[in-house]
Amino acid sequence: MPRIQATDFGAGPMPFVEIHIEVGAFFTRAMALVDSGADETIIPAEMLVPLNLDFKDLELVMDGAGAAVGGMGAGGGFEIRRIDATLKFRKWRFAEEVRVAALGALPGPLLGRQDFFAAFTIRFLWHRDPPVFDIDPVA
Amino acid sequence: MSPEAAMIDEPLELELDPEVQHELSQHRGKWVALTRSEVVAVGDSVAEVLKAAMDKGVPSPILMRVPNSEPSAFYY
Repeated sequence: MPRIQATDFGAGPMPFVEIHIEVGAFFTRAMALVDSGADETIIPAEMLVPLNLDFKDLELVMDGAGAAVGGMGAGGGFEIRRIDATLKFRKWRFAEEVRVAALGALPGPLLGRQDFFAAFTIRFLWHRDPPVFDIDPVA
Repeated sequence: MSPEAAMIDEPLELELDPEVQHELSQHRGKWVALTRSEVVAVGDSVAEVLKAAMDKGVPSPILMRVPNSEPSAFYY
């Protein structure tokens, strides 16, 4: 059971972890925020560079009525697309696709409820000094 | 013994060395390429820091944009 100390970049402690994103023969490593406020894991389009992908070539995310799904952030609404990708935290796979937010829409990858939080039991111990969090694989 | 007390001695892990965290605090809002123990490149785009990292012999760095605000700004 990894127990991880919150990372502090001078803006307060935050639950960051390193993840791997693999698309075909390409992969990248990124620091991602464990974010219970995010529906699904989503990465900014800027992270597509090492994956040799272009945002405009990706598939739109559609809802049941055939309308394009968008995201909402502090800066307003933004376009979301998707890619088939394998996402890993350490040795554990937790997703086989990922949402991608338009350029400039997100500051960094967010690990959300429907995939990351479904694959791991996450316990925040923010009363500790420094704050820590546990990430246990469900299966 | 309470569950909390039983967990108190769990080994603690760091995703990044404290020195790296401190150095990154001086680059808030920037894209960075790093290893867990070293900041390799700082810039305004992923392409820029990735190229700089590769030039330094780090072909697969960890990429991130250093947070520039409180965590609540991340929600969507």
